[in-house]
Amino acid sequence: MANTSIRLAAAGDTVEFARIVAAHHADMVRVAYVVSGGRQDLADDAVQAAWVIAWRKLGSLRDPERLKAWLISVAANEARQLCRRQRRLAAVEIDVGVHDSAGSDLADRAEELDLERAIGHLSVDDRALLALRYEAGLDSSEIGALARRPAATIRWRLARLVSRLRKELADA
Amino acid sequence: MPELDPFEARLTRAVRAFADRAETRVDPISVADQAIGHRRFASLSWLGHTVPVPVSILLIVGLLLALIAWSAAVGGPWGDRTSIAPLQVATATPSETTAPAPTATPQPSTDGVGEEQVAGTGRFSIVDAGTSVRVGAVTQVRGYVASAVDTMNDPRVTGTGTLRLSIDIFAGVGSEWGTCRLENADGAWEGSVSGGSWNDGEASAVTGWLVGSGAYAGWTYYIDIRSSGLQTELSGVIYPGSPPARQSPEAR
Repeated sequence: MANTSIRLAAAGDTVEFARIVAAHHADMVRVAYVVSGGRQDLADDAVQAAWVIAWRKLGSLRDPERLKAWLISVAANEARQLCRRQRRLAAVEIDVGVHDSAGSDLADRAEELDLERAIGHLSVDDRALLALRYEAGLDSSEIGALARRPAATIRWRLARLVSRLRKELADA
Repeated sequence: MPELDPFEARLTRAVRAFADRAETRVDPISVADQAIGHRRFASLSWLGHTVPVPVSILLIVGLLLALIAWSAAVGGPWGDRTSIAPLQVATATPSETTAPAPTATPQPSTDGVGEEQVAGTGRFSIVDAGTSVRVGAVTQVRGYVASAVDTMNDPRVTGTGTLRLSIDIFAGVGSEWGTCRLENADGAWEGSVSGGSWNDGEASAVTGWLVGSGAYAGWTYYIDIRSSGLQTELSGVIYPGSPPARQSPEAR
């Protein structure tokens, strides 16, 4: 089914393309939002740019089963590029409000809030890595294949990043 | 995802809580439409490669085909006054758009001699979409070639031509440069052109100085090509002498 839909969209079927948009847009925005450090406008722009690329290059997708991962990585990459162009992001205030925590342990919730703050202050590349790994659920091999880097490099970067966050929280 | 240690599990919850604040509701048709329909640089498969191609050019291809059919059937808008040479349209280039037959804008004819202000319309079709490479935030199109039929109010600049362009596509705007050659039975005009596009490529302006040869030797044609949507308007001047040297205005 997915294969047929992709083939039709790649051949110029705009209705099928809109169906693909409907199926994957939210996942792409969530990842782009994390990569952009909580900038909704930037996440929206990044995902719109990603759809332009998707429309152009859908036909080059070799494995239709990887459509979601591919779209998410394109959105993450566009968000990274937009962030780099807008250096003022370095000074952006990250809004980490208190959200509904009913049913969760208060101590755990406090640590998660600290984590959210820490995420907001990471570099854009590190946020992209976190978003692809923990929001999109891609493993190091998948991220490596999409980023055209060895999986071992991704694993090493992730391990270093997690270790740094763990230490920051311990010091907090 | 493999089993995570407790810290990574909390990290996952934190990242997802962060992402939960994103507004994800959207009209998919509107998003798809923006990605597909309102950009000048649509996709076109060329020899197995997907390349961005100005939508206005694709529309003009449709117009051109209609024009050829019209010319073949009833002589087209020019009657017996102008003979249009056969076009070298690449057969591998699909036309994504059909359009009604164009209506030529009447222009007061000149006497075809001496200095002149000229005006008319151009019809373009893709001969080679070239290659497209993404370099950072810029899409670089190289080797783009279009054939043209220029219908002007002066027979000296009415004829068929070739436009060769390099295009750098940025977000919403583009920079274009290359060469233009226009010829007819009496001679030819050739030179470099450059310009820009905006409005996501819906509009563009390219200008240049073309040097005459054959019957037009010793003359220069300054050409101004302005495209907006389906319309490509041409204007310019024909004058004796050479194009200006690229130096300061005070230089002699």
